[in-house]
Amino acid sequence: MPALEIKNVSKSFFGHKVLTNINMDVRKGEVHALVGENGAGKSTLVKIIGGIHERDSGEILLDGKPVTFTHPLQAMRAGISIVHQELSLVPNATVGENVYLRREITNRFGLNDWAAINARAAAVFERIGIDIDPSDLVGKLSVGMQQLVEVAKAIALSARVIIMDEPTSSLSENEIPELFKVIRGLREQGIGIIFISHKLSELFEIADRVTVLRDGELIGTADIANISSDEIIRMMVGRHLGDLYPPRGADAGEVIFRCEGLSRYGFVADVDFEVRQGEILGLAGLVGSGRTEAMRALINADRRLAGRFQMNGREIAIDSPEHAMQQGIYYVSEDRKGSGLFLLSSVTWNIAASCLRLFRDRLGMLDQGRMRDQAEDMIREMDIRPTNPDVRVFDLSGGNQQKKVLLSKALATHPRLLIVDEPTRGVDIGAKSMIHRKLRELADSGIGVIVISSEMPEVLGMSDRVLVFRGGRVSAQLDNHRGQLTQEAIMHNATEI
Amino acid sequence: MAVRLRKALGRGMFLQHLGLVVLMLALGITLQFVHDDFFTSANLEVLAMNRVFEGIMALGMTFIIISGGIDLSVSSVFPFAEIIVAKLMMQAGLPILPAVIITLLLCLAVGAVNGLLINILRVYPMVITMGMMLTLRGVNLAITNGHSIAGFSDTFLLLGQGKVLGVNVPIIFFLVAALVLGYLLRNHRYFRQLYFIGGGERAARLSGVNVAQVKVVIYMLSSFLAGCAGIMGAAQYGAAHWGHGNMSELQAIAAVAIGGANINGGSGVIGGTVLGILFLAVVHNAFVLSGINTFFYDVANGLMLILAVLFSWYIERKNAKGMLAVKQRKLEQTARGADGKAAAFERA
Amino acid sequence: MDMMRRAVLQGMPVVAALGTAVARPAGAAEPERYAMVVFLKGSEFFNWAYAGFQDAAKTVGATTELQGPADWDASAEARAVDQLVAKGVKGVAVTAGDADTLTSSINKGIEKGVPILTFDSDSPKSTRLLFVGTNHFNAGYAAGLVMGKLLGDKGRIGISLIPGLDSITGRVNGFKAGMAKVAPGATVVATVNDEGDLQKAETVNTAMLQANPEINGIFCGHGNPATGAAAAARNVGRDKGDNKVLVMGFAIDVPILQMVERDELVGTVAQNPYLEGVMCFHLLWAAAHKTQFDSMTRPGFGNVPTADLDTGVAILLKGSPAIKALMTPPKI
Repeated sequence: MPALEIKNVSKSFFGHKVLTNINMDVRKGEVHALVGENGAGKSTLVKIIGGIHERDSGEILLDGKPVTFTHPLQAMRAGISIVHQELSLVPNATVGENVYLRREITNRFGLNDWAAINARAAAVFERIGIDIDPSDLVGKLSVGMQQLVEVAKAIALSARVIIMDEPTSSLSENEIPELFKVIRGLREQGIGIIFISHKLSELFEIADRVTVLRDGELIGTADIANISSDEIIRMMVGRHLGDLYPPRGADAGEVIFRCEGLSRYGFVADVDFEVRQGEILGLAGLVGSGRTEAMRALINADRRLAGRFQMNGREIAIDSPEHAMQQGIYYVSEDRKGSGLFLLSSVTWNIAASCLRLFRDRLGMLDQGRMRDQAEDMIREMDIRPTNPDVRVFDLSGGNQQKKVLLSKALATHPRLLIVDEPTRGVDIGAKSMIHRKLRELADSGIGVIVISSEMPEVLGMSDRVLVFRGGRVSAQLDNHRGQLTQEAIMHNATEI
Repeated sequence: MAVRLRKALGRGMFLQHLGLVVLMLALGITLQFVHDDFFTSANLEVLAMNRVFEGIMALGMTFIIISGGIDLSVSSVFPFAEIIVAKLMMQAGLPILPAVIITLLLCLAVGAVNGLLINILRVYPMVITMGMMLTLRGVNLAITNGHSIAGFSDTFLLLGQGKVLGVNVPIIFFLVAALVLGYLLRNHRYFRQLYFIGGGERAARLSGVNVAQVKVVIYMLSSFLAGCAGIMGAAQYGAAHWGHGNMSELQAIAAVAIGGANINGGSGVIGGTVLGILFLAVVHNAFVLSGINTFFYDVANGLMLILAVLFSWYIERKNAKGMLAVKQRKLEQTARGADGKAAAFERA
Repeated sequence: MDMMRRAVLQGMPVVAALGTAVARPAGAAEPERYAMVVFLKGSEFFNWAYAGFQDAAKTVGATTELQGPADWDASAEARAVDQLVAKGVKGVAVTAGDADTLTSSINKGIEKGVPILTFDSDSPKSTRLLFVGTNHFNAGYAAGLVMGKLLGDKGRIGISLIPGLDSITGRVNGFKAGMAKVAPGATVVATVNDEGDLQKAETVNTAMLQANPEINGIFCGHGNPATGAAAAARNVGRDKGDNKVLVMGFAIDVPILQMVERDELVGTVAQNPYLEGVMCFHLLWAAAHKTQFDSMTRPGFGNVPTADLDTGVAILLKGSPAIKALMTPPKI
C-alpha cells in the first residue's frame, strides 16, 4: 500500500483552475521527484497535501485511509511534514526545542524538561546519522545544518511522508551529499519522500520515480531508470502553442544596446547581450535564475558589481534608475503595486510620473492640462477603460487596466530601450494580445525591447532571440530566425542536467 | 556552568553581558577611587532605588520586546496605579489589601485593552500603547485635578520605604520578580512561544501558537508590573501624583535594548535586562557623584541606546551578508559554456 | 570580538564624561559642597536662583551643584535629594514640584543631619528648616492692588493658571484680596488651565476671551502664559485702543520684560529668585556651621529663622529700572 495517494485532486483560485485531476502516489521508502516549470502547480499541490490549502475535489489517502486537513498542524500530526524552501525554525530557541516545537516535553507545571527534550532530539539525530548538539541555538547553525534540523523535526513527528521543496537551493556544494545521505537513510526507514527540484542531475542521483506537471495537469509518472532528461523536458514543456502572438518582424537591424560583464554580488555573474533594432529580446529561465536581478542591476536599482554598457555604439554609464531614464532606458517592474503604480493617484498623474519634467514651465509649475492630454492619448492608444483620466488607479478594474497604465507610464518617457518584466502577469487573454501587439509595434518602430517572462508560450511567441538564464548566468542564446527557439531548448538550458 | 551559560545565550549575547559587567565594575572602582563613596551602603541603596521602578517595568517590557512589540503606556500606568490605590485608601476609605487588589485588577484591564486593540486593529503596538499612555495621562490629571494625594498609613508606607534584611522592599520585589520571570521565560513552554512569535508571527501561527492570546497575556503582565511599581512608588514617595514616572518607559526600553535584546524582536533574556537597568543606574550614579551636569546623562543615555540598536542592526546585516556570500560562491563555481549548448540545437 | 568592541563603545561616553572628574587635584582640601534641586532645570527662573546660590557660595569658598529633572517630575526630585544626602553634601535647597512627594526625602535627609530648606515652592508637611521664597499671597496681593488701580470697579478679570499648585492658588487668593481692597466692584470672571504649556496658553486664553467678552484684564498665575495671553488679546483684536485687555504677567524672562517695554503686557510680577538663591545659601551655611549656640528648635543644626522668609515681589511696569538689570541672563 502506498504511503500517500492523490486521486483526482483539483483546485481553483478565484475561478482560475490551477490543478486539474491530479493523480499521484508515493510509495513507502521511495524518493518521488515532482517537477514542472514555473506555475505548473507543484507548490499548490504541495500546500494542499500539507494542509495549507484545501482541495476543491478529489481524495487524498494516507496509508489507505482518506484524510482531509484544514490546518497544517493536522497534516503534521497525521504524519505529513513539509521542509519548506524558506526554513521555519526559531533562531533564538535551541535545536531540541525546534525539533519538538509546540510539542515540548514538560512537567506538570508546563516547564520544559530540557534533559528529556535533548535526549530525544539526540536520538533522532542518531537515527538519521548526523551530529548536532541539541542545546545549540538554531540561529548559530549553517543553512545546511538548519535544514537537517527541519528534517529531524519531521522525523520526530513520526512523519510517514516528507515533502522537500527545493532543498538544495541554499546549500553549499559539500552540504548536498550530507543531505542526500540523510535522505537515503529516510528511504531505508520506509518513509515516502516527495522531492521538488529543478536540477535534473539531482533527480537522477537520488530519485526513484518522477512525476511531471504542466499547466496544472498531470503529464505522466515514470521510473527514473527508464527515462532520459530529454524526455522529462519534453514532458515539462511539450504543449500545443496557439497563435496568440503577432507575426515576428523581419531580420533585425543595427545594435542599439550592448551589455558586457553584468554582475551583481550573490545573484548575477558575467551576463553579456545585445539588443538590435526591430527585435524583441526575451529573457527566459526558472524563477530565481537571476533575470529580474540582472535587469535591476543594469539600471543600478540594486547595486551592480560590474558591467559595461553601450548605447548606439557609444559607451555610457548607468548610475541609477533615474540616470537610466534620462538616457532613455526604462525598466517596468513586475510588481505593479509595490514598485510601479501610485494607487491613490489618478491615471493622469501615474502616466506622467516618470516624465514630469516635460510639463514644467520656467517656474517649476506643472501644466496639468497638457498632462491630461497626454493621458487621454495614452488611454486611447492602450484602450484603457474607463476612459476618464482622473480616475484613481486604485479604482481601475484590476490587473488589465493597471498593467496598461504601467506600460503607458513607461511609453510616456519615449524610451529607446524598454525592459518589461512579466508584461502580462495577472492579465487576461484579451488584454494580453493587445499588450503583445503594442510591444511588437514598439520594436518595429526602432525601440529596443527586452521582455522577461516565465510563461513559455509568451517567450516563444514574442521573442526574436532568447537569453536563457540559469543560476545567475546566461546558459544559452537562442535565435528564432535560425530555428533554435523551441520549448525543449529553453527548458534544457534552464535546468541543470 | 559558564560554558552552559554561553551556549544558552549564544556567543554574542554572552560577551555583551560580560562587557556590561566589566564596564560597571570599572566604573564603580573608578568612582570609589576618586570619590571614595561609591561602595557605601548609602550610595548603593540610592543607586538601586533610583531606577528600581523602571527596572520592574523593564522586566515586563522584555517579554513584549521579544515578541516583537513595545509598550509605551507603562509610564502612565505607574502614576495611574499610584493614584487609584491612593484614592481607594484615602477617599473611599478601603483598607490596604482590597485597595491594592482592585488597583492591580484595573491595571490588568488596561493591559488587556492594549493587547486586544493591538490584535483587532493590527496597528503598530507603538501607536496603540502611545495612545493609551496619553489617554491615561489625561485620566490621571483629570481625576486628581493636578493635586497630589498623600497621607497614607504607616503600614502602607512600608510597601515602599520598608526594609527586609536591610534591603528596600521595591528592590526585593524587583529581584524576586526577575528571578521568577527569568526562570519562566527560560523554561516554561508558554513563554518560550514569545521567541516563536518574535521570529515570525505567520510561521508561529502555522505552528499552532495562539498569537492573539499570548499577546494579550504579556501586555497584561506588563501593565500588572507597572501597577505593582506604582503602588510601591506611592508608598516610597508618600504621595501619588500624575507627574511621577515621566519618561520611565524610555528607560525601561533602553534597559532591554542595552541588555542585548533585538529591538525588532526574537531575542533577549531577563538577565540581560537586569544588567541593562543596573548599568543605567550605575551610569546615572556616576554623574550624580561627580556633580557633572545631569543633562549630559540624558545625552549619554541616548547615545547608549543608539549604540545598542546599531549593534542589533550590525548583527543582522552580518547574518544576511553570510547568506549572500554562500550564493556568490555558488555563482562563481558554475562554469560558463553557453555557446557549446546553443550550437547543439542548431538545425540544419 | 565585536561584542567587546561594542561594549567599549558603549562605555566611552560615560568614561569620557568621568574623565573630567578624575582630574581633581590630589591633596587639596575639599571645599564644602551645597546643592540646589529644582523641578524645571534649565528654566530662567531657577537659573537666577542658582546664580544667587552660586555667587553666595563663592564668597565663602564653597562649591555648588544644580540637580533635578527638567520636566516637573517631583519623584525625580525626591530621588535627587536622596542621592545628594547619600553623597554627603553640606546642605540642600529644594523647590518642591509636589509638596507631598518631597516630604519623605526631606525628612530622611534632616534625620541624617543634612540641613535642608525649601524655596520657591514649599513642602510644608516636611521637617525642612524653613521656607524661603515669595509669599504667594503677598505677591498676588501686590498684583491685585495694581490691577485694581488700573481698571477700577469696572475690572473684569480672567486668570490663567495651572490647577493644583499651592503656590499658584496662594497667588490667586492674594490677587483677589488685593484687587478687592482698591476696587471692590471688580470681579474675577473666568479661570483657564494653560497646563504650563506655551502653545496651550494662547489657545485657552483666546477661548476665554471669546467666551467672556467682558474681560478687560488677565492675570497670569505663573510665568508661562504671559506670551499666550498677550497673543490671545491680539487674536481677538483687543491688544490696543480703548478695548485693550490689560495683561499682567508673572515672570522675569527677557521676552516678558521686552513685552512690558513694548506695551504688550501692562506689567509683570517680578519675584526675586536671585535673592532666594542667596538667602538659601547663607541659611544653609548657617545651619551647617554650628556656633557656640545651637539652634533652639533644631538641636544639631546652627541657628536659622523658624518663620518663612518672604523675599517679596516688585510689580514692574513700563520704564522700571529693574527691567534693564534683569534683561541680561545670569551667569552660572
